[in-house]
Amino acid sequence: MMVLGGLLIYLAIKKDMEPSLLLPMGFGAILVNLPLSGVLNQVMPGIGETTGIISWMYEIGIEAAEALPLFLFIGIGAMIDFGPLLSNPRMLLFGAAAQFGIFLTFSLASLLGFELKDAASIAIIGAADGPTSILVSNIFKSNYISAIAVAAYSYMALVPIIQPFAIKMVTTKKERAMEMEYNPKSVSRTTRILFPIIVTIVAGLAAPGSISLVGFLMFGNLIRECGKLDSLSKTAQNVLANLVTLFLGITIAFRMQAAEFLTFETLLIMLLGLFAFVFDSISGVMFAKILNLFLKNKINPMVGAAGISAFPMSARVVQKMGLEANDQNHLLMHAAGANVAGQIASVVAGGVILRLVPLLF
Amino acid sequence: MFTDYSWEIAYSNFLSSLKVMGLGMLSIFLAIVIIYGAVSLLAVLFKE
Repeated sequence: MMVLGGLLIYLAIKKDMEPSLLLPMGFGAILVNLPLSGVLNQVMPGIGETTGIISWMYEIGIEAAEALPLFLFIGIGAMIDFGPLLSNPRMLLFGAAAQFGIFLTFSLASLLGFELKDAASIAIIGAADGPTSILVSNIFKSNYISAIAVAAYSYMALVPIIQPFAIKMVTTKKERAMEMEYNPKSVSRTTRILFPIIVTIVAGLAAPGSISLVGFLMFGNLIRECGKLDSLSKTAQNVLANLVTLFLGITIAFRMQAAEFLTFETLLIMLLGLFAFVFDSISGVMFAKILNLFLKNKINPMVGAAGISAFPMSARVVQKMGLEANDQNHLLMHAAGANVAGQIASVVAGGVILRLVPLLF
Repeated sequence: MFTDYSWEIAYSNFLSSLKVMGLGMLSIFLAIVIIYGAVSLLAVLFKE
């Protein structure tokens, strides 16, 4: 496990893969796997039980009420500009379509023999949203939370490699070269302020399990858009998000103890996570193709793939691929709209999974 | 996991997961379509 911790640190530093999370996770993996590590609760002869800092952080920061992933959502919400989505709201549909890979992975993991709670936790890797993956797997008390967190964050960092592969599987060069006009409508400040409140209420009613996720995400966005809390907004975007990510990484390492992590299931989870990412992208593309059958102004199918939550990497991938196919093809703003829609849809998907799956237990 | 693999249980879970797939995608689309409607309404009500 210490070698694996070293590998995570290497990937974070040398390959620049989500360094703010993988580096603390890697270091935490070393900390928790040292023999009789004092960062974990221990029973000491003659003294009794001592509380280890990482055990404590896990119990308080994740196990009790998923505080750390939720605090991170405030920062993420403050970072997101929903402008491209609000000026072209039909992009919302791609956010919904690109969640299909989650459910496909859920079915596959069930068939492979994972318990339903574990299958659902693994499937949510496809939400392309680290905090959502951690939150859902923790609520389901999945045995594989650390493997799920590693997979979710690793694949988010690998979006520029995974998505072009997935998109090219289901599109032709002619489709990728398809240009789209961009005529943004102006968005009033009132709309920007009301949007997070409305989304919270709608998503909360449709998927009550998602209310903490959506609520904290939209709370962060409201801080950003209200225009009265600029200093808090900047703090949430930078200091809060960075600090929480740091603590989240080292806290998740609690579950990276060798006996739990070094298993065949971990390998399988990594493969299923990849499957979820690929099929989320493919389902977004296919949905765009289906919509194009009915639309006069066609949509470049690649925009559908940006409906996953990995923001802004996914939008950048679509922009880059569009330019590769046609040097006049600027898709960034369309893809950014679909990408932020993916942020909303992925937390709704998390809530839906939390609501529906327990009914099967 | 594989040591106590049971095809009957896995198949039954798979069938249940298909129900979750249908209901889940329906719920997500429903929520998104309502948000779509609300955003379109806001754009009309608060035009700049």
